[in-house]
Amino acid sequence: MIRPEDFVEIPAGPFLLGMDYPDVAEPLRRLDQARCLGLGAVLAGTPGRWVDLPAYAIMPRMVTNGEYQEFWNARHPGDPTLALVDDPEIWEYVWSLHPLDQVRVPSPEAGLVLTESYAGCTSALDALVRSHAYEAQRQLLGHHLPPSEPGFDGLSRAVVRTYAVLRRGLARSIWRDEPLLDPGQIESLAGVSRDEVLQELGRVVVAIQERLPPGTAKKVPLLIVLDRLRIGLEAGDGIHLSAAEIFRPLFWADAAPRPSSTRSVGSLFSDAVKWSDLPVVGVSLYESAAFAAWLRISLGQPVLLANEAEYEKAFGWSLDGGELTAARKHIFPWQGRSPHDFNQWFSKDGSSIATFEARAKAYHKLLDDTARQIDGRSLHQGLGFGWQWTRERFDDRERKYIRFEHAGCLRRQVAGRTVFEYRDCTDQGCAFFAVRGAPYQLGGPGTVTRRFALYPLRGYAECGLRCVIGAAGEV
Amino acid sequence: MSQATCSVCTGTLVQTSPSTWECRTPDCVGGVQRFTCGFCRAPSFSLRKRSCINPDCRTHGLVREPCPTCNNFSVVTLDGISFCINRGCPAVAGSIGTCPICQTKSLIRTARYTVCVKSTCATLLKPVAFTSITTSPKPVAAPDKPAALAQKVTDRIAKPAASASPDPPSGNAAPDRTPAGPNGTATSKSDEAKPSTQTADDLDPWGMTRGIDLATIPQGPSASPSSPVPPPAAPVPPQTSPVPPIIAPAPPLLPPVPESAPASLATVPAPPVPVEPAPAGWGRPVVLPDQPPAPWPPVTPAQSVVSPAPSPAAPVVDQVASPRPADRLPDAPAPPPPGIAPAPPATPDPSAPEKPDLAAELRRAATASDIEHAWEFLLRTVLANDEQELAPIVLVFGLAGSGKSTYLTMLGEILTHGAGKYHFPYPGVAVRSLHVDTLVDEHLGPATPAELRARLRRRIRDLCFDFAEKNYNEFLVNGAWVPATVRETGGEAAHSFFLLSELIQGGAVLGRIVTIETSGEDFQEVLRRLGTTRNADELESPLHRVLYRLVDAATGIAVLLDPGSHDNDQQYSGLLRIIKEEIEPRAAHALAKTVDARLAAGVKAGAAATEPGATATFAAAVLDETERKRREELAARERRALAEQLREAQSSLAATASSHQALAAFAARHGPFMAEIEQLARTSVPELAAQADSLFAEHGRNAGSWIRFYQALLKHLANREAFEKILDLRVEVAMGRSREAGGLVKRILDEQGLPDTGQITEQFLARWKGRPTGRRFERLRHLALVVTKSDRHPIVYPPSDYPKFKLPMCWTHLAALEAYLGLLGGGMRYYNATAIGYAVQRGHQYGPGPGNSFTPVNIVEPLLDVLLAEAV
Repeated sequence: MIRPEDFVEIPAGPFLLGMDYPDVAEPLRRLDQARCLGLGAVLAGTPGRWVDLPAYAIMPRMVTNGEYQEFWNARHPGDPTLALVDDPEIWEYVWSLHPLDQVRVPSPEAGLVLTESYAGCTSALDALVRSHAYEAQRQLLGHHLPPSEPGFDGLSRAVVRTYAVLRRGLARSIWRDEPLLDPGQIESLAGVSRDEVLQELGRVVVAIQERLPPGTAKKVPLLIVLDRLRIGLEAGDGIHLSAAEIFRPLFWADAAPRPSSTRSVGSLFSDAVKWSDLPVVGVSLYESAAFAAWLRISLGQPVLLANEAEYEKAFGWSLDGGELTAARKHIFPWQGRSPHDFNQWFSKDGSSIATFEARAKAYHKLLDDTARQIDGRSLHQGLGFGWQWTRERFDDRERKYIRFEHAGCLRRQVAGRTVFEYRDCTDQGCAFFAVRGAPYQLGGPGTVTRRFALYPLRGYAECGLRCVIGAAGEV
Repeated sequence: MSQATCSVCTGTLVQTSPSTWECRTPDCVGGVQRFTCGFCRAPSFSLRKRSCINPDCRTHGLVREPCPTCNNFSVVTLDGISFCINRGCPAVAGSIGTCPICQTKSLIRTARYTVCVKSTCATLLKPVAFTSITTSPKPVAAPDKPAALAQKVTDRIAKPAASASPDPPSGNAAPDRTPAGPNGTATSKSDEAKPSTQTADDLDPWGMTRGIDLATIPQGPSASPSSPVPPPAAPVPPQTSPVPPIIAPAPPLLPPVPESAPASLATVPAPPVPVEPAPAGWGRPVVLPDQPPAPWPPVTPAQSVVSPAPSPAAPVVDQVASPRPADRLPDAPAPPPPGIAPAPPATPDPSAPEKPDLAAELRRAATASDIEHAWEFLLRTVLANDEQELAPIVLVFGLAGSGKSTYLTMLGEILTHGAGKYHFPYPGVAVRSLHVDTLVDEHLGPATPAELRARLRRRIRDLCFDFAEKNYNEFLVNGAWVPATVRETGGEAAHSFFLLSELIQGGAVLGRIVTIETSGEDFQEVLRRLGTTRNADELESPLHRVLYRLVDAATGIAVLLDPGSHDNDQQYSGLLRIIKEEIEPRAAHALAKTVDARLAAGVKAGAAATEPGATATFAAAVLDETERKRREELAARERRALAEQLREAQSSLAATASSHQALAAFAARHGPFMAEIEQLARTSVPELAAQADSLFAEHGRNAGSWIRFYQALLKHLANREAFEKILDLRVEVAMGRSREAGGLVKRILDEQGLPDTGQITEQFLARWKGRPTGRRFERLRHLALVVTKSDRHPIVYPPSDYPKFKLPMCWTHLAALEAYLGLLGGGMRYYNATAIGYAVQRGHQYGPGPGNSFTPVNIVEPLLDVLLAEAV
């Protein structure tokens, strides 16, 4: 169980967001040049900007499978027969935090960029279902059909009907009141038996599998969800489904701790790291935000996903005091304790993180070696253990932190430096969300300044989450 | 029954059992019966030769005898020890350990060393002495078993095609025949690769006879017409003389000789110049379009790409005579010797349209393809400056799936936006658009026919503002990869084209990036043929001919490696081997020039080379081993020379009258010789000095005294014992210089941080002062191994270790190649690269994220590092 006292406190104050290559410590620059690491290329997108942050406390490690499982199996406080994640309120809440309007999604299969509309969604679960329907259409048809379009034929009808069944089945988790099915969905579901639905579901699955390279089906989220839908329809009454079963983390075989992922399981006699101690991956932004919401209720603290600056300050800024100089900024969490660069720890010899996970001792040593020390406490898994969702959107129109150059950006002078007030990027025009940290396998070195952007309605095998307690979480 | 192609005769091999094959060519050098080689898995183990005849096999040429225990052809002899390399053989079962390199139980322990027999191990069959793998101090090498011997065996394995087979040819085998290449085309070791005639330097690799028979020695830098060969000079006098010379009149008669260096070396430019000079002429100002282009020298049709190929008997370009001959157009006329005015350009009529010759030639060459026209046009216009020197060309080379198109797209994107968007640590470097029409107007004139213009346009595109911009905006930024380049099948569509970009810095052209966008299959085909084809015209496809020429003309090659491919090692080991063999002579020659220069400047071999520990190095071992032989040869030559000189001096002295004029005439002819033997005699016959003193005291320092002294000296040397003593001293002086030069080899390699692989030392010893004979890759100085897709495949870090772990066959060539390129002023670089930084899983596949999340790593560096190194 996560406790508030486990969180590592980071005091308020300005720090250097990003880093300019000339400010990198000389030994690291020499190493970079000698080994062609590409540090300059990695830092180029995030030049140094002094920003101000209020105090906050950050989780000492990424959220684990065990912790996430606790959330996913939690019962509703008002109705013990209901799983917490089947309560539409939690999904409405996270949707209100991070609403999506339109998303432009590339469709390499069709050579198109398609626009997905989430304007009518009332909860994150509804958006997740719609997102899967869009993807199935892209995969099978090469384009999108408006879900309300009546009169489909053949495969397109099967696709629409399959996702209409899914949406109807999750209705109790998506809407508080009555289902808001589209006229087309209502029409397509009229008088259809469970067997017919299962038959069409089978057609859709086979059609999608035929378009995939052999051996890849088990890793495709679309098929994983459809398979769970099949199991749900076969096991239950053929109508009602549980969000806990359908949208649990991608690589969990079921809600019980029996993962099907490549990550090691661990057992009583195994030397492998226990599955419950490994970071949870394969959860979407909304599922991550839902976890934070649950933690907020459980701990009674303003818990949120970390934002970009909070992550970077925790892992890259020296809190030892002193002047506001770039020398206090570290691009690796272990900088100052160890001269190594990212690849000296991660993916050095062509291995994968699984080699560490198979040996608990080596894994924990890696955790300790790559941790950041703050006041005698360790912040683990800052780099190399996976991307981490942030609550911020990624503005693809921005390069090199030009947001701080806007006149509207609040600033003040501190010790002769211009310090900007840091604000989360919440522009709804930006459909992607920023992730920080770095996976084990990455092109170029992982640094605490490095950013990437992910589509928020999917879980990824290399992305987990971490929460903070801070003023921004107070409602 | 399966069939395969014989590696030797290119005939048909027919499988007669799961492991045996028969060659259908009756007189095949490899014999009729073949087995599947356990190392390369090809049907290439020849029963007749008892060795694998596949030139790409890592055991090529290594004789394997039958093992009496396991009954396999698996007994090899390395460093004098025979043992079975079959890991399943009971005879070696008790002596097998785990190899520290490949982590396989394949390390066989013999009486003196251990050796790994795993076919994919980087240290395959390289004997490792116990001393190097244990901590207990042991003598490095016994005198009778020098490390050189082991290294020779290793080198023989490492460069199978370069060295002659150790076993004598059997039957009607021609000793100079080379096994066929991978495509089955028989080749022969031509004289281009190895000198066929013995030169004076072969007899005297240390150049000790240069003062005697310079006329027979290939001309070095000092022999160019602008710096005439000095007259035969006297051998080197001892560097220190405890007593002033007795012969006072002699010094004015001698030419001024720098101390510690022979006269012939005095004309060598001063050191230190360890590497070849960087090309000149490419930092010239940008030629603005409104400036008239310089007159264009006429193209010799017979040497044009679109006309018949250059004669294979073309004279070898001498690196020494022309400092940068390789940077000249292949067909350009050789520069006139220094001091001779160049012929005026053949464009005297200013009213005529400029450069009509090239346009006319391109139009006339109806048989040539578009791509050849384009290459010819680029070669004569964009790539050559006014002096017909070629710009540095960096070729991006990659097999199918290596990510060439994406790489080139990001390269153009980064060059376009520079530091404004990406990391671009090249201040002042900018890119300039190159439009084909503008180039045609500039070089062929505005009257160029539309048809020719169109043909060029479809084959030449701007890298940055056309190719990259289109691909970036159409694909990458939309989350899709750049589609794989389609292989051309002869239709209308031009899928293969040149990509061109011009980099400028400070108003001058820094360099031009010229590479070709074509399918990986085409690269693969050319790669396969590079080893077996010595002339581009032998290739059938015009595209392949152009690719071949481009590889040959490249200053740098960036090889893109797909880490997910399992064929890289097999595919590229042949290329690296060929490059190594071809540039070996150039590298040895460059080293020799540096040693020459330092000796001329009196730079002694560094202490590092003579410290006790340093003597254990391979360079020292080779030098020690060869010293005895060289000393014998030198002593024989010196004996003849000394006897002859004594005879001549005696007869001259007998006819010399006691007059100043007669003495001056004698000194003019024999002065240096007499001065030398006087000094040598002083150290060996102390009483001679006393005799001289008494002679001059008695008769004064007049001509008669000198003549009497000379007579006494010559008479003394007529004594056999004295003669031998003087001869020994003379040889010792010469050998001292040799040792000094040998030490310098080691020192120069140390200074440049280059590995002493042994091969470079051997090459140096064999070719010092020789003429570089390599005809291919004449401009190549830089090689970059770029491992792409490092965001999706586990990397090896640091990247320089990649060949060691992933390309064991290539690795056997890379150490030597690195040293050779370093000696030529370039180098070898390794990069882990990624075009976008991280590819995200989308459905079942991975794709790029949003455009502004890209963090391209090591995309421009492999090319600009080369161009900047060349521009400095």
